[in-house]
Amino acid sequence: MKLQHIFNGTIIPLVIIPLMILGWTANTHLIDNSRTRTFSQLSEVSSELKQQIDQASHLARNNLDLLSSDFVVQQYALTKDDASRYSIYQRGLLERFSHHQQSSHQYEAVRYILPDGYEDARWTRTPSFKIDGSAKDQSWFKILSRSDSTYFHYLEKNHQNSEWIVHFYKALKLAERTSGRVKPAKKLRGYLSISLPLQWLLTDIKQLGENTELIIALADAAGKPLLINTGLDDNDQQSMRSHVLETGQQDTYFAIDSLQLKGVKHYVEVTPVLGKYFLLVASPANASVVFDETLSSKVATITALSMLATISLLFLLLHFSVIRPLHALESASEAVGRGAFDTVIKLNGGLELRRLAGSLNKMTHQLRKASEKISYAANHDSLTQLPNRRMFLHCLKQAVASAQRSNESMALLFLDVDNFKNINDSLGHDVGDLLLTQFSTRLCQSLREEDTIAHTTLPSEEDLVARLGGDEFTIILRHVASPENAEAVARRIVEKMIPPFSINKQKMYVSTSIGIALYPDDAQQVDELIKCADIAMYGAKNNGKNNFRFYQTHMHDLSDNRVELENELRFAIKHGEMSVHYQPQVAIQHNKVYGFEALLRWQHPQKGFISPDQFIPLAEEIGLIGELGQWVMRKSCRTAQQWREEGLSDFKMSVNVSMLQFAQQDMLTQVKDILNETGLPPEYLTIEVTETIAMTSQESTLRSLRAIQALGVSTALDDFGTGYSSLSHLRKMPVDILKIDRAFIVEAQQQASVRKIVHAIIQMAHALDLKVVAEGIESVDQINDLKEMNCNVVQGFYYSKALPETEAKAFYETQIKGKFKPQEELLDLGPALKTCRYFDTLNR
Amino acid sequence: MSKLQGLSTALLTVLCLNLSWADAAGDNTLVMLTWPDYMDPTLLDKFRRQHGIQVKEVFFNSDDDRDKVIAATNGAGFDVMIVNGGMLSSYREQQWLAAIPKPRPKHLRRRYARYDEAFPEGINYAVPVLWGTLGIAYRSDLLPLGIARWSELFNPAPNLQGKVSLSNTSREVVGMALKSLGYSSSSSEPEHLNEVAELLHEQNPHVYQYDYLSLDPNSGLLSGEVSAGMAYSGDAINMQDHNPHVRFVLPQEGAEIWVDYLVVFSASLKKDLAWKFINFLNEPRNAASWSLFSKSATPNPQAQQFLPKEFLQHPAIYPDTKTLAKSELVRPLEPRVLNQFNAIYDPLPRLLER
Repeated sequence: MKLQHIFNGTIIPLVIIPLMILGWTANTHLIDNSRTRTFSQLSEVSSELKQQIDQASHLARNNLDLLSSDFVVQQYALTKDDASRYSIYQRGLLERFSHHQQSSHQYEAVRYILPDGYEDARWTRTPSFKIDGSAKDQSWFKILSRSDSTYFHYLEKNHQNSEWIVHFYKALKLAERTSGRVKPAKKLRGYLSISLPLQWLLTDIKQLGENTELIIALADAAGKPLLINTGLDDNDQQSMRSHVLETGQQDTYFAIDSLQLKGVKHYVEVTPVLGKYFLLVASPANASVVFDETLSSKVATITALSMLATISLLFLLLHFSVIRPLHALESASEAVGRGAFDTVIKLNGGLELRRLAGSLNKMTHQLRKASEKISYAANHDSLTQLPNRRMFLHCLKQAVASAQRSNESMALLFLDVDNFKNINDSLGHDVGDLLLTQFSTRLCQSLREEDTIAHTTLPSEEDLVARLGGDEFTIILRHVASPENAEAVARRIVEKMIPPFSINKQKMYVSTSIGIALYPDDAQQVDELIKCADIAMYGAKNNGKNNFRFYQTHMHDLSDNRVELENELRFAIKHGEMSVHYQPQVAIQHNKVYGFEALLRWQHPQKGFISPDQFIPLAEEIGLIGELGQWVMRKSCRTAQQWREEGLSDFKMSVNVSMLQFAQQDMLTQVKDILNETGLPPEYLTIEVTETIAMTSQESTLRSLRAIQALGVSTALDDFGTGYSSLSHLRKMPVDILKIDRAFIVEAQQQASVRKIVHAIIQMAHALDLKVVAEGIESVDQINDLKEMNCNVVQGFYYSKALPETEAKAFYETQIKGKFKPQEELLDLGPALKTCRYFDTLNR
Repeated sequence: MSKLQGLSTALLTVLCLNLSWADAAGDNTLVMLTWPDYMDPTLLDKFRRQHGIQVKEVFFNSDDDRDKVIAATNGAGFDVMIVNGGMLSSYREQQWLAAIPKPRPKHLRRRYARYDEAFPEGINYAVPVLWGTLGIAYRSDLLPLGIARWSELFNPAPNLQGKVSLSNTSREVVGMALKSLGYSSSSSEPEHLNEVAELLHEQNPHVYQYDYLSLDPNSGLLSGEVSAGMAYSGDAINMQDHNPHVRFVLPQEGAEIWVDYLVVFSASLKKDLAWKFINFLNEPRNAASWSLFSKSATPNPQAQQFLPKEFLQHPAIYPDTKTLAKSELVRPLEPRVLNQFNAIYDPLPRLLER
């Protein structure tokens, strides 16, 4: 069960129930209070009205007393003669009445009534001609005349204006005036009457009724409402009547009861007034109910609000001190579980929970440390401590995204250690590892020195050096304003690698090739960018290593095939798909084998024979040509040495060296190393360079060539005649042999002019003390002609195509056994011929 | 009215303070309650010269005023009074009147059968001195067509509305109103009374005053505020001295004939002097003089010889028999009828005040 539910189920009822009981009690109490107030208000109005009526009644009696003691009135009353009264005294009497009324305005009429009921004199406030005549037959007068009491009153309805009037009477008992000693007895002379309109009396009632919805009524002893301040229908009047009757019989009139009037429950109070009348005051119960309702709603609102407030407060308390800390702990635990070890739990809850949080924080800290170790190991290269491929990819993605966001450029550098494979292979992995360590150190140093590159100290914003594996490194350069920035870094790296590395107290020279790809100019996607940098690196390698190169679009077009070929080439080299064939060269003047030209052959297991003109340019481009050339030279030298050791002597092994090899590699050292390595004497080796190379090469190439010559190695100029070589330039070239291009030889047979040129070339070469080798000899006529022109050596299918090692050796051995015969059957081998011819274009 | 009321109130106060006017006036002074401009002053001079007795006049303007004063004093302080025949029974009843001494003084011996018949209460107690009619006085210049009937007064035409003067005596107003309806001025028929009450009620807004015309130059009739009004014949004729356009007419329905008596108060301490004075006034020459002065007829046949012919033939003073036949003597009413008259009349002045 959730804590929240436990809270809801127990605490909330614990709060609500007492509050509701409290609210209900208060409400009941307030309602009782308001009802009591209504009752007391009712009683107040009732008693006030009764008091008013009593006062008016009292005042009327006083006035009657006053009038009855008036001399004029008494004189009038004592005047027995009617005519005298009417003619002499009546005017005076009426003036008295009038004066009296002026002092108490509320009286409607003042009368003098004779004992027989005749209205003897009357003064009315409203002048009226009405003559009432005798009252002796009226029931009230019968009561009056029979009554012994001095005072009497009755209510009468004025039929003209429907107003109720109270008539107060006083019996006027006077003794006759006499001068005698015996005072005559008092006799009844008549009745003085004062008429008071009830309406006037109850003016206040009306006003009261208008303001308060009170129903005020005056009822007679029979309960018949005589005066009422509001309209009531017959039913209401009937119920009022019965109520008054019922109440009137009781001893106490002040009991408050309820009565249905006007269809609404009323609280009613009945009070006796004027002796035999009843004053009924009714207040609608709903007046207090309305009051009750507003009060109830107020109490309900207050109760509800306090419940809401209490519950909210408790809820908030629970929420903030327990639930939320628990949730925080829970989510923190989950976060830690997911690996967010930087999660720190901060709680505002109770001490216990804070302690728990503290323990959790400690645990998290430990976990983070362990996790960081693991993470570091997962993201870093154990050898160089540089970020590994995994981290590199992560960072690169971030860097690209960041650059994209800020609309900036960045550069990706790919680099590897030139010839690292050789180092690894020849000197062992331990040396290789040490080298990589130092290499990476220099790499980082070269990067950190540049302040302009690393703009910011934020780890994610720093330039990043990573080791992808083997000798492959990458550098992410952020905020590259222009390609020159990346170029500066690349150049500095290349320069940084120039000083020799000291591995196990041995000096070692290592270079690096760098490919640079720019975001977003070269690629927008991470994968693309990596590919571009990779391609550019191989571009740099093709360019002779120890340099850098920016990615260019055309590189990419070749890249697919190139990668495949590169892999296949490497594979081919490693798995012996590559082989070297040797084409015999014959010294025609002596008709003996002069030497062999080493030519590269690739027998692909699936694709079969692959033409050199397909893979040689690619090998040049991807930078494999150096390796491949070196391999051919080493193989050729080793074969030649082997042949020597097997008894063959006095022959030349010609190896083609391309211009790229000269540019990228230290050819002299290489040649020396290979001769040392194979033990072949230098005079057995001939280095062939193309005329084009010779003509365009810089002084360094020539110097290198000369040094090689100095070793005792012969040098040959291949394909002579195809370039625009001048003979004067030829003089400077450190070459010993001139090889005339096949095209000249073929055309010389058909055109006499060409034959003259060939002849001139041969003569000129001899003049320069150069041997001449003619290529592409396919017929005996050509041999005879070249013999005639004093050409030294020929090679071509007339004698032999390029032969595998053993066959080539056999060819040489036949010469020892006897004269070798040209392989005429080979002339028909079109495809093979073609292949060989193309192969011969290798170094062109 | 207010002026007179003020007078009577002042009088009343004086009486109350001094108990007796006579005491204040001295032994040789008689106090006489009378109408203003009614007593011939030359006679008073003559009486003083002949008998050395001064007569002090106290005026009343209406019977009611007079009665109120007497009711308050029972006549104490007064000696002689002019009273019309209708009041005699009440006065007698109140025992306010002193009997004519026996033997009768010389000029009081004559008996007037007609008046004795009309007012038997006056026999041996009162002496008729003047008579006249109650008719209509009007301004011929204001009413060029004249006025001939009571009904014209009680149902006034627009040119008369607001310019009607009545009397302060219920008997006269209600009585003449009854006459205007063709009934007797003493009718006690409830229907008649209801009808007359209605008539008076309708007339009420057009009434200038419920008061008797004053006879001095400030009178409403002279000033023109009143075009026509109830008037005693003598008063109307006297007012012609002030304004020749004043006319008196006996209405076609008939007039009321009044008879004024001289009485002596039973409360008087100078009854002998009082009777001497009345005797003096009843001498034929003196009676003729008074008749001429008051422009009223004298019942004394011996006096007529001293009266000019034109006076005796004056239609307003001595109306022709035909007109007089319709007229009635002011007879006392049945008490309760009078009470009804009072009840009808009483509200009228108050209504007008509103």
